[in-house]
Amino acid sequence: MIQFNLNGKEVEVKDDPNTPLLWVLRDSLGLKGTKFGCGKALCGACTVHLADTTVRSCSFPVRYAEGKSITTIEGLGDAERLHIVQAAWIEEQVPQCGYCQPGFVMAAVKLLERNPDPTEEDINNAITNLCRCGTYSRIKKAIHTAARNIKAQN
Amino acid sequence: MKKKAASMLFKKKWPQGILVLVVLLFTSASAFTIKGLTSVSKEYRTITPVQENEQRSLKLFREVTKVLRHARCINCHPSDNFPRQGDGDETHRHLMNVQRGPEDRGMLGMQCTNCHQSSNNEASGVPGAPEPDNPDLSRWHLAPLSMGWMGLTDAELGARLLDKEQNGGMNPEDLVEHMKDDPLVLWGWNPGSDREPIPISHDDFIKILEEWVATGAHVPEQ
Amino acid sequence: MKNITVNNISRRGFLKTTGLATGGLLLQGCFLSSDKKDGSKAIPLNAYIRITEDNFVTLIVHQAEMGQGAQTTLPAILADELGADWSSVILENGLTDPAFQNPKFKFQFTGNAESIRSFHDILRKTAATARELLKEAAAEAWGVDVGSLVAKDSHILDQKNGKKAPFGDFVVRAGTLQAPENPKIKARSEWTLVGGKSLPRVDVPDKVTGKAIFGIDVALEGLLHAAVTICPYFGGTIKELHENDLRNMPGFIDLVRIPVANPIVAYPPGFTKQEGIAVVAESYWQARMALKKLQIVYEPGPNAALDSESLYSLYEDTLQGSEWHESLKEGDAQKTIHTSNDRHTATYYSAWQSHATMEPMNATAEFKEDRIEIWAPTQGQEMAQILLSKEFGVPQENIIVNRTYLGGGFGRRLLADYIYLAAYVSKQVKRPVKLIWSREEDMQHDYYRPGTMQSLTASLDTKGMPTALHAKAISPTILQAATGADYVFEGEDPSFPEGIKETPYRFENFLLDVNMIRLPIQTSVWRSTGFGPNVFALESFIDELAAKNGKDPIPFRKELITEERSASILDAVAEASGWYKPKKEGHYMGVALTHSFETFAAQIIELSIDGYGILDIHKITTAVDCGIALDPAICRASIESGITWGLTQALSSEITFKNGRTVESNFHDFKILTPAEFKMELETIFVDSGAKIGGIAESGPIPVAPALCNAIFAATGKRFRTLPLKKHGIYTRYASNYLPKKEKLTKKFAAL
Repeated sequence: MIQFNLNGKEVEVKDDPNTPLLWVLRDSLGLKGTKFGCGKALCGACTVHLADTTVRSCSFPVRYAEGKSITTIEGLGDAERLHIVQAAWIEEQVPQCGYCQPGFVMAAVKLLERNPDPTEEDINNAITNLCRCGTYSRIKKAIHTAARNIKAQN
Repeated sequence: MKKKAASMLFKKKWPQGILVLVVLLFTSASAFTIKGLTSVSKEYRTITPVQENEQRSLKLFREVTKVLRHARCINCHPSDNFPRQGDGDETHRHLMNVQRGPEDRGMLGMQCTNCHQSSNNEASGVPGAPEPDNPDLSRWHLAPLSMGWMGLTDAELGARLLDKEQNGGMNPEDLVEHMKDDPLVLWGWNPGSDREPIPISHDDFIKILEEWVATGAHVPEQ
Repeated sequence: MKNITVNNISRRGFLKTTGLATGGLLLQGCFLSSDKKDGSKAIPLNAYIRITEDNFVTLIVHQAEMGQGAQTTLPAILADELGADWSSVILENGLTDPAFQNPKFKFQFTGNAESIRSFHDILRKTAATARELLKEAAAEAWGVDVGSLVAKDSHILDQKNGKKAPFGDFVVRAGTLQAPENPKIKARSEWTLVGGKSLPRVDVPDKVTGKAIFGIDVALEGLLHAAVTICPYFGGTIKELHENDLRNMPGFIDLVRIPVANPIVAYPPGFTKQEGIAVVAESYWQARMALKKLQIVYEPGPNAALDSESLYSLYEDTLQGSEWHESLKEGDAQKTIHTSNDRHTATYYSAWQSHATMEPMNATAEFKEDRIEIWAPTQGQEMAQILLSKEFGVPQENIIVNRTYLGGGFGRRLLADYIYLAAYVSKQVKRPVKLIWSREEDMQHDYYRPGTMQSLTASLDTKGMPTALHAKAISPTILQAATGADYVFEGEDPSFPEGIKETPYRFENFLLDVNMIRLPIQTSVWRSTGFGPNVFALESFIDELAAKNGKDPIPFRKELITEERSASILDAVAEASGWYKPKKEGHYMGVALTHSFETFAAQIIELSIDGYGILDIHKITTAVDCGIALDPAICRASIESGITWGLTQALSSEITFKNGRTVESNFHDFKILTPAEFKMELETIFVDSGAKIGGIAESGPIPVAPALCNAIFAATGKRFRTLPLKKHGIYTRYASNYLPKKEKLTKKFAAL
């Protein structure tokens, strides 16, 4: 039995401790927003938050989540209460097929928490997820938009 | 194919260099001859001439450098800000724009531990290693820039290795301990997936290191 | 935010209310029914529009949403013409229905940039029909002349007396009326939702909150999970299977051998059927772990020696050979060329490519006796019905294909092989099964965009203008696997010669010879279809002809083109990019012109390159005339998405082969463009010609490779005719940092 905090709630799972967090989230806990893209931590579609950092959950055995706090895209915000980054994503109309976007959003949120006004280079260094539709230019725009909105809010 | 060739190469090379040497140094008290080392008769063993010690030490150091320069070690001991991946000729900068970052643990948003956990992940192929005092905590990080080994000559590598200013205040005995116990070092012998492990055993490597230290931890001057 | 409700997966029972059997009527867009069997009181006015008595307007999205914006623009056309209140419509993914078939192909699919260009007029007529029915019912109810009524915001309004009532008040009566045959269609000036401004995409909120349901996210009661592995050798077989302790693995349910894991409707000669093995378990990860226990010994089979080098030689040998299918002949190109004193020949090659959709192949199936229900991210709902019906002997109408969001399509999801696998396994285990491919399986068992070779020869007159073109194109079929008909193409398929058979240019004498080689590797369409590689060849060649006589590539093209639209976008792109102005130090430009999917696009790439072949792409300017850009933001996103696609294949991505199987297996060796590489400025201009609406999703990638190579030529004087450019040691600055030790950057361009 592995226990951890998921999106603010305590959960426990019976999966094999080596099961990637990704599949525990998706199949045991029913949160499908975290996506499977490559299974090798190459594409970032499975990015979630672990305490104050991000992890690529396809390569994160659930046993390491014991006692930790995990946040997924579902825990970030919803249509009624959007996270400021999600709102920026909507403002810039970022997604196309959308499959990789939760991973990008999660990565962007962590970047902005630690660096509220990132440069183009900061973004390139921090966000290395892959998108096959080619939404990169709007992703960068949305991060800057979110940064502006965060600044305006404070 | 390339990988096989590389391991063949090592199979051929190492016995000449190290294994034979180690076996002879540690299992036989009788006189021996080996390239670079003169025979020593039994009764004079305790007072080996300094020069011979130095020669032996230098010879051993060369074997040490082979391990230090192996992909499993040097990929995370770069002399720049970029970790490497891959074996031999296939070695390349770590994909995904991975960089050293301010604390040798990656850049904000792309830290080593975002992907590398405290053990090898056989499912994803992503390697990992723990902190010595906590098996659940990932130790994955880069050696500090001061311990970057890439592109160094033997002399430079030796100097850097022994320089307490650069090596974290370690004297040669501490270095041996580091190589003996550090989970990141040990990982080199158990790299997981299809990565090539360091081709001599860890025990043999430690014996070489210990003998190198015992013989004065000599490194070439140039 | 708009309060649009998106029902991602069709409600069960929907099929009953529209009815496949009534297809003839549906096709005319005037199926009349007040069938309330589903209990929703939604009255279908036709296959696309249902309205409840309490005025909920449901619009059916009949084309897959795979990022191209179909889910927004298609229903917006309906709402626009119907006079529905966009902010309150309910959108629902359609099932299969004859009314949803593409009129050109008589086949329901999403692809080929067809969604808008083939359905805009149909949707308008369909919605206009519904609108007129509602107006007529209102006129009857109010005892007024229909002429004074308008439909607006989901209400009927009498302009004479200001009387207003919701659509729902009239829908029951409207459903019983005879539909008008030729309802008046709104003029462009009356459009409010499309044709000018951009709508917020309806799929975006769910896609940024993780709520959007892709195929891989489907959840059903009692669902089992399957992992699959398919024989990796083209034409290989499974020699030995060692189960080890597979059956003792936690959650293990069953092991299913699938004799043909890559089925298509009609097999071309030389097709290699591959056996697959699925492991079924209680959870997907358990299935993966159990599958890992399996030890499979393969017999590589007759193609064990196949590799990229031998394959390339085969293309070269074919080019030297004499077996050609005459695809098109105008005038006498061979004679003209033979007798000319000024000739030019060049040969081009575009590499093998994988679709590599971010969502790996997957499908969910529930096989029940004589009925199959599918939930899948598919571009080919009808294809799934056809293939499954053929393979399982289940009547097509008993195969229900629910379409989810697609995590990328790019042509791969036109096929139904991955859907078949889920159905096959569900049939064996008699439970609903979701089958997910690993990335490695996805990449190694793709239906690839094949390598293609083009050889072009032209003769030139004394002014340096071409008098004849003789083109030869070599490619395996790309349309066979995507064809729902039980028919094998001979000589050529209609898709692979695209872009070279019909060009924006006029050649007095033109001969196109093709050789549709038969290979053991499975091939299919891939975003940009035949246009991608053929336009790369043609647009590079046109540039070569211009350069041969020192002519500026844009005026040279303008002299060769035959219609106004190409000329005007060339002017537009030249203007916006500063083509005729002095360039910045070290900056060079290349141009390409395309006419594809009824859309004209011209592109200019501005770049710098150093002596070592390291590229900095500064700006990509694209001018597009797709008739009318219905939703400019979606169209722009589509073109820019295409630019990424085009750059990826031009620069870095490639599928290679060794020892009879695919080498690449994941994103570490199939390299797609990364965020750090994508920092060029993009400018995309839409030239509104008001002409028939053209496709947009496939057009973006097409000019990229030739414009890029033409710019590199402008900078270096060196012509690169084979893709990807990494083969020539040309890399983006970012990618150049990632070369393996064995590959050294070499000085290539002495002058730089």
